[in-house]
Amino acid sequence: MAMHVLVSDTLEEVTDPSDWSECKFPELADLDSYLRCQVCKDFLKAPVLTTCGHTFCSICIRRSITESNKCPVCLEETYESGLRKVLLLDNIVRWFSQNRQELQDKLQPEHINDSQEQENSDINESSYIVTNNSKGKENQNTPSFSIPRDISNVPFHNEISSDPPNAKTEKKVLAECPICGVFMPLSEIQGSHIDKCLTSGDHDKSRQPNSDQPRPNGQKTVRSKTLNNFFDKDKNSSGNNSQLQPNSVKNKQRLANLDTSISTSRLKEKLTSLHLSSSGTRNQMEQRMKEYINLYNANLDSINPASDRVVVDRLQKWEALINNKSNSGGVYNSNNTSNARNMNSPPVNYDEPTIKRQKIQHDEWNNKNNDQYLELIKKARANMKKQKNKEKPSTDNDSRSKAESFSDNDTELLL
Amino acid sequence: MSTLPKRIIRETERLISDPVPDITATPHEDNLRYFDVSLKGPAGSPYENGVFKLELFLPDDYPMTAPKVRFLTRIYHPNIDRLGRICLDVLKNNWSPALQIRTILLSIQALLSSPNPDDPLANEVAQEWKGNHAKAIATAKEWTEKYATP
Repeated sequence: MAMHVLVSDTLEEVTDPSDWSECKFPELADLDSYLRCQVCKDFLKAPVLTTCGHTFCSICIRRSITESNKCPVCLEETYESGLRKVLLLDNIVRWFSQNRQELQDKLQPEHINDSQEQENSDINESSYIVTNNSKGKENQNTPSFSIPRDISNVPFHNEISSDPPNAKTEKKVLAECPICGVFMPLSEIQGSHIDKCLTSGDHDKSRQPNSDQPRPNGQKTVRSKTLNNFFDKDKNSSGNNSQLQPNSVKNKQRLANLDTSISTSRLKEKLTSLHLSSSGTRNQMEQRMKEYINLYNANLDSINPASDRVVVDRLQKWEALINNKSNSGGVYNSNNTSNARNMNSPPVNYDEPTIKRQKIQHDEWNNKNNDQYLELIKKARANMKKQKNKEKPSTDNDSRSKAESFSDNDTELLL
Repeated sequence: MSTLPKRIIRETERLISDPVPDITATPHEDNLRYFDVSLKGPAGSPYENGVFKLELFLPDDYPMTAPKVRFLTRIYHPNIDRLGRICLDVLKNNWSPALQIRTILLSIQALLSSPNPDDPLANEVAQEWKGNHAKAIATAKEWTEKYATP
């Protein structure tokens, strides 16, 4: 749908799996949706795994658990103590969201890439192109890593290192060890080699992996620079290993959940000891404390956690949002929005400059957003009209597509 | 105007650009958390051919709490009362932040296809539904024609 192009133009920050629908490889929409949190619908941030096997942003599932101890997907009982961070996934998502725009640009249908592009590209061929096209820095000292060509067929939770479903191709796939840069069968890397490589730690970093080295089976070389960025970035942040958090994080203790039976004076003490404001009502203090605990613990699930200062900033933003929003009208009083607009009730705790800054930020954001919104609505309406006119002649078609999308939506419902 | 979380913007964008068949949901321009919804009665139900208006509001802590939804058009249904309030598990106990406006509206549409008189909100309607089914269906059709025909 042309709409999506328009939308991503006007609302750049808001991405959606459907953004891929117009590109040469629309199947990427699936990968795009797998890498998103079911709660915020955005790319996973500091992903964690629940005991029932579902993955969410750490902060999203923590907030959700604060509300009720149920997995948002399967409604099974879920506890905070059961959450485990998934650092590799964090890296994968970061890579994807950073390179997403570029991938999309390169996969525009009118953009003819190069000779490798064939008219009748099947799935494997297309994924091959994806790999090939992603721009990386060619002269990096970091090792590169071959993605098996049929990775797009691999169910997401098997992750990159799992066996491709097609055993025949699996035999052929030579991959480069991400640590030492030596080419070898994928199964060997996944087996013992990578462990050896990691533990020995004496891999020769000066060895420049020859990315143009031909594959022995005569296939075109996959110059897999895609994961290079991923390792580079990581190198900057946390050393060579893609799954290592900075050492400073390891020593950090997670904050225990708030015992809501503690006295108000103890709660104030606690807040003060964490350098947080202890103003406001008891309820506001509790909310602040809970959100801070969630933000703090979620931050520790990130592969590259932010400083405590940033966590406090996030808390302030959150609180400003809450204060700004409160009293914005209920479902039964729709027309008091002018009222709501004046409801910038003073945040309870922050110093004057912070409040002002936040207000300005909100106003700016609102204004900007509002324009885009109006534009968007206009475009969408025009689009809908166009579609309606198009669909009118063929009522038969219409009802069929109705039935189809209905069943689609049913599945979504069950998720 | 209150600040909008990204998730709401995303959902709105999808609702407008890729609408659910037979359902429209449009945000108010002055309050983007408040939606005007119209929903076609499902084929094969006594609500067929009716177009029902609803209002939907996303509370501050959405998606941690469910959207508030209410029928504005009168409807004869055992799980919907005179004020338009809806008795539906996913709007109450079974709400999950993984659900969204789209899925909720589909659930409501499904509720029109399969009323549940054993868990009623409108007691009289439910009794009629169970005691004199044919008459209840006739009344539902009549109301649809009276209130929900555009």
